[in-house]
Amino acid sequence: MKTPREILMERHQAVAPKLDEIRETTVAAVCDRRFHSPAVIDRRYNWREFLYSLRWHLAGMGAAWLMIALLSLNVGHATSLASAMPREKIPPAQIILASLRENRRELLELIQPAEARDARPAKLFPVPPRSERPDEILTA
Amino acid sequence: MLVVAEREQLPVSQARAGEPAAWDALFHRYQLPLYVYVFELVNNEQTGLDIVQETFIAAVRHVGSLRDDNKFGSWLFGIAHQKCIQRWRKQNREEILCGEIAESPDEFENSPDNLLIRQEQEAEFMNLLDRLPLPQRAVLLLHFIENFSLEEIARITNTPLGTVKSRMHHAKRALRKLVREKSDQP
Repeated sequence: MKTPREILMERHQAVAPKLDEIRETTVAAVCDRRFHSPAVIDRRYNWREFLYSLRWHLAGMGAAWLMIALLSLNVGHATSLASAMPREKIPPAQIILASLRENRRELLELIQPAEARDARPAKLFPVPPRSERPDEILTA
Repeated sequence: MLVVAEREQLPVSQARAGEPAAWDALFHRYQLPLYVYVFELVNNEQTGLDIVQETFIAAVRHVGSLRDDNKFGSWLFGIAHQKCIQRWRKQNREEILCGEIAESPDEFENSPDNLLIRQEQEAEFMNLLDRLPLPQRAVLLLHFIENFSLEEIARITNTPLGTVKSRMHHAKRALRKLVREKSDQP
């Protein structure tokens, strides 16, 4: 009486030399510098592990950037409304300039009082006319 | 008599450090069981040898991804299983894996050594094994060859535990039926 494992192993025992050859080839490859260097073997794994350890940070930053992107999209949408105005409704440049000048004049009127606007600036040292001046004797 | 050494001390940490002697010991331990498993799935000697070699090379390259040294065996069988699936996909034989049996499993606590087969039943046993659908055959082989637990088999085959239980139940029932029938014969 045999167990299933025994039956299976005995059935394939003949292939053992070929398996030994495969094993030796692979172990020889391990001796090769390409495989032997742990840095080479584990480089990809180290990168993966490094990124895996930062997964929560990366997820948080990703979410933050997503929020920023969504907000900027909304702002962009608001500004784009002005540009979406039909061209026929925009008045010509002359009318815009005239209304700007009118606005400026009204603003000045509001800022400066009427008296101050009409009064001439007082002279600090008024010079009287020649006839009103006293006689000046010039001596050489 | 061949006996599976259960949870033996394997030089996995030394192999991880790149020691060729450790790799030699590990491969020597698993080369025949791995080949038996692969051959019984692909039914071709050359393909079986190729897959064993590819598995060994992949093991050396990706040993860094092995988290638990005690699970080296199941990890290695998992690589081999994936290689078999890749071969099947290349041959457009995925439909073989689709034969699923949805039935509630019974309790599975028997050791593979409990099933003893007479010498005159060996050929019949192998025939029956070959006739089993591939998913059931894979589960049964992993159980027979390395006495892997159901959880380990689920991990190796990347299958839910319930499915593994179901497959095991049906495969063992078919085998028991054979053994009983042959024993009843005079």
